[in-house]
Order: sequence, then C-alpha cells, then structure tokens
Amino acid sequence: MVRREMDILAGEYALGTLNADERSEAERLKVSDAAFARAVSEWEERLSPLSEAVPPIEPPDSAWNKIEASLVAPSPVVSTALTDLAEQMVDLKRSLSLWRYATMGAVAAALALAIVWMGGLDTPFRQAAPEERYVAMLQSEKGETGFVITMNMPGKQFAIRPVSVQEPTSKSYELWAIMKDGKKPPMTLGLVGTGAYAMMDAPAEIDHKMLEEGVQLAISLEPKGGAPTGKSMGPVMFAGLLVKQTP
Amino acid sequence: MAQSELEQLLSATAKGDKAAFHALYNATSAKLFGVAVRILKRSDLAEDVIQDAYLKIWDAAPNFRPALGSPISWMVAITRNRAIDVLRKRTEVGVEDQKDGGEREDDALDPYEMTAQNRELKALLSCMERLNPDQRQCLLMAYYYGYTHEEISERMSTPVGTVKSWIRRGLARVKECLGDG
Repeated sequence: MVRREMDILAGEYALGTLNADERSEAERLKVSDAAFARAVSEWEERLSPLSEAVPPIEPPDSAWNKIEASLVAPSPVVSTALTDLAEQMVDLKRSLSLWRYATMGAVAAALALAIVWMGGLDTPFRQAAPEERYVAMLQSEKGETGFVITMNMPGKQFAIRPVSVQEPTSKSYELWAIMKDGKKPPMTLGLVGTGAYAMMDAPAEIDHKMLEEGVQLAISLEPKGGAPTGKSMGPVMFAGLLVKQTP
Repeated sequence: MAQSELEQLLSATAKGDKAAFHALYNATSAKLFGVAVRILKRSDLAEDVIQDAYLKIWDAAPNFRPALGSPISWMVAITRNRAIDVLRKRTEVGVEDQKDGGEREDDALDPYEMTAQNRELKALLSCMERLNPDQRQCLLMAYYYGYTHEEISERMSTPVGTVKSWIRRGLARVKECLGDG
C-alpha cells in the first residue's frame, strides 16, 4: 500500500467509519506495521478535540465497582524460578533471531522445564522428537507471563499452562491464532481456564500446517462463554509468538 | 483536570497504583461514558465498554508515551475503538435495539455551537469549515456515531462511493490544513 493510501486508511480507522471486515484488516495492520500504528495514533490525536463537544455523562457507580473487581493483581502461582526465567524472555517474542541466540542460557533452562512437564505426561507428546516441539510465552503488555503454550508438530493437540493469572470476573479468556500470511482473521483455539495445566485440541477448522513458527498467539477477554460471533472483539490481554523449541 | 495532572495519574497507574487509577477514573469517566453512550445509544452497553476500556488503560498505561499525544486523546481512542467494535458486532449479528426511550438518534451534536472551545478544537473546526458541508457532515457523523460508509450513505441518501471519497478527501484536507500533511 502506498504511504498516502495507508495514511487515509489509518484516518478512516481512527474516525470510526470502517465496516467490520475493514476494521479487522486495519487492526491486523496496526499489529504488524509500526508505521501504520503510528499513523493511527496521529489521527486519533488529530481528531480527539471533537470529543470535547460530547456532553459528559456520569456512569453508574456499578461501573467502577466492576472495574476494581477485575483489576488483575500479579499473583504468582508457580515457583519464582520459573517466573524469573519467564521475565528474561520478555522481549524474545519480538525477535526470533534473539530467541535463537539466547537459547544457550536461561531460555534453554526454561524450555528444559517445559520438557520436564511434557515428560511427566503420558501423552503422544512423549514420543515426539524434540525439534517438532513449539513453544509460546503469552505475556501482558506489562511483560507479565500469563500462559505458556507448548505444541507438538505435526498434531493439533497443545498444552496450556497458566502461570500468573487470575480468572476474569464474569468474562472468559479466549485463545486465538493469528496466522503468518496475515490474510485471515484471527482463528479461535478455544476458551482457556486459569486454574490448572490443561491439554487442548485445536478446532477442526485449523490445519496443523497453519501452526508454524511466527504465528502469533493471543488471549483476549471475551464475554462469558467466548466471542459470540466467532471473531475476537475483546481486548488482547496476553500475546506471544509461536517458535520452534529447537531452531 | 490539566493534562499534566492526568499524565501524573497515568504514570502512577502504570506502576500499579490503584488509588491513582481511581482518581484517573473519577477525572475522566464521565467523558468516556458520554463518548460510549453517544456511539452505542444504550447505557448498559456503554457501561460494559468503559469497563473494558479502563481495564485496557490499566494494562496499557506503561506503554503510554506523553510525547506522542495527550492522555485524554489516548483514553478516548481506546474507548471509541472498543465502542465501535461492539457496535459492529451488534450490526453483524443483527441485534435489534429495544426502543426504551433512551434513543439519541435525533440528538444532533454540533461542535460549532460550543462556546468554550479550546485551541485544538478551534484549529480543527476551522480546518473542517473549509470543507464542503457534505464532507464535513460525513466526518462528524462518522466520529460521533461510528457510522460506516454504508450507513452514512443511507442516512444522506448518497451513493456509498461518493461518501467514501468525501471522507477520504475530507481527511486529507483536514490533515493538510492542520499543517502536518
């Protein structure tokens, strides 16, 4: 897309006039293209004075009570060691090459831990060769690790490990895959709990070939029971890249 | 509340200070709720929207950069994006709104009637004044109500292609006029 066209699309997005499909497209661009995201912020800033003409309305008291009840306080449910290791991975999701470089150190140790979890399970994971294993650390914008996901390829079963995360009040967490080609809207992998380690199967619509290195996994906050339209509408709470455990 | 105070509250919020977050909420929630009600025309949905918006603000506060914009623009954008997502979702699944008297369809909003306009609003409005009235009307309808090109086309009885080009040209001219085109 030429620069000018991209800037106008950013303007239309910020103005709020794109239809549902065009909006999803723009939202994907916002994630994948820093220049586009910046253009959107600039438009939001440019148009924002218009909001001064909107008469303020006091929200009901219940609004604050619900917000306060939903504030997620960090509450580590695993050993500090794992949390520390997870923290060292904060920026790795942004850089696959760094990921590869760092496998010598702490990351390798964390992955070894992941293998220990897998090894303890009597599942098909056990027989799989290590190079077929994929891992994603899903983190909040504050860099807190919420979930660790491991998958074996080929195969559609994956393991999800809540790390430091509380069950949302009257909402559900839903896991999505954003494919590498970026052509499709995010596809749901199902609802995820925050209690225990769980094994899940990817839905039938997802071909295992789609789940490759570089696929973005994200967990959004949706209405109880999941996004009713099958499209993610809620805010993204955790995200991370799926990468091969052994490059 | 002055911008610098909001910046301080937001920066304390980024460090997990709940009291600062509550003060930020008290200072801004009527504005954000007003924006959400305007778009969704229902206070129950608007309440859900600001709930999601403030949780997003709480989570994303560490990413806010004062150099890139004001706190209130940032918070308004989060709220509007959320409200428009909900609006689109409802349109897509064909939810009919109950007519409960809370409809605000005809409650037209004209920023030009505001007496107390700050510098930024004045600059934006004077740039929008240079557009032809139809272009201006499209931009305002889209901003205040989150209408799609298609919805504006119906409301103005104008082909969708014309509405699209009015909006695109309108945006380009506003940007140019504000001096950052």
